[in-house]
Amino acid sequence: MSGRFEDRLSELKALPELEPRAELEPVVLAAMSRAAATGQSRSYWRYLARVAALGVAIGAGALLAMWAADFEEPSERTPVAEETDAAYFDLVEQTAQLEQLLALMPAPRRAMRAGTASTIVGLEDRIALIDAVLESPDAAEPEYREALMRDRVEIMNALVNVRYAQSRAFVF
Amino acid sequence: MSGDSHIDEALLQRARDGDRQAHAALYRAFAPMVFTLAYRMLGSRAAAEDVLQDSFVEVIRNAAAFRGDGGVAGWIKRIAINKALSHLRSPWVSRRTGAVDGIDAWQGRKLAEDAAERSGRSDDQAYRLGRQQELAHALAALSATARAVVWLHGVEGYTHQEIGRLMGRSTSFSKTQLSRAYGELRERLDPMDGGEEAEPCLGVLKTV
Repeated sequence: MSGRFEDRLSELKALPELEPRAELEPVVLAAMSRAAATGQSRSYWRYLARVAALGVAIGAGALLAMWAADFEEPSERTPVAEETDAAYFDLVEQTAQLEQLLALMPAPRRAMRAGTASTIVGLEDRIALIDAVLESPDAAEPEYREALMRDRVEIMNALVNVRYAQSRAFVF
Repeated sequence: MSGDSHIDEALLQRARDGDRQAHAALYRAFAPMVFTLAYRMLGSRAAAEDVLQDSFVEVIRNAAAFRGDGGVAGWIKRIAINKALSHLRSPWVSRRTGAVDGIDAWQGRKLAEDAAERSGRSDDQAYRLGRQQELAHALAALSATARAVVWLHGVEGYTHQEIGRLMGRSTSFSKTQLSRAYGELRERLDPMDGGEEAEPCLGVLKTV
């Protein structure tokens, strides 16, 4: 290659920088804002999905533990009353975690499918009913209290799942 | 060239979090660099504007992945190169090979002479401006792929192996494209300086 041509090629690097049209700036900045908003929304839903999965796992783990406990020999364990109390307080802790999970979720949207709204209201009514019974003298018996609280955990779990599915339906 | 001395990872993080001032700072610092790169590679203002927008959106989406290697400018440039190459691979890209924007090498020379004349003297600055325009138009007249190879190899310093990988082709594909492109550029820029009997292109022999 001749020196002259090589010199010309070296001039490629010295070509002046070009300015994009000024009208383009607001367009690109708007696209950047949308991308940032989408990214944040995705991160939020990923976080929520992880929390919901954790809640479901806790619930499933508790149910498994309770199921396994049904098959254990009472004689090899602590006294029945203590065991029942421990199981009960485990369940109370689980419902508290699920309550926290629900509080983290965005408020239910006004616009939602009637079936979903009806399911949510039904689950909340059942929880309220259990709470009322738990506070009454009828729930003094430990086994009964534990059964009520177990029901409450299951219903709370269902409520978390429904609320999560409902809120996801509005992402896109 | 655009500098990024005041652009750091914190600003990138703010941009990712939706801070509009950070978006504007990023855009103003790097838009000319990205637009120039895209325009030189693609030879079309409209395509360069598309790449500009796509690149900045990608910057926001992938800000979390930035690890500081090569600085913010180098990272954004790599994103822009990938976007420009994606554009080249798009089936919508026309495969123009003739004169671009109605200006050919002869007109480039005319511009050079006019620039020198307007300045009232044949000094270096006016002459250099004309030569740059001539070179830019000769580059724009190449085929899209050849132009991209010339730019990546000659200006951005990519090796044939890297160019082949970026384009999803072989190393020898890049060498061949560069050799042909240099032949065309030589004919346009220095028609009296070789033609078909010119020596083999140094770009091919200098394989890295």
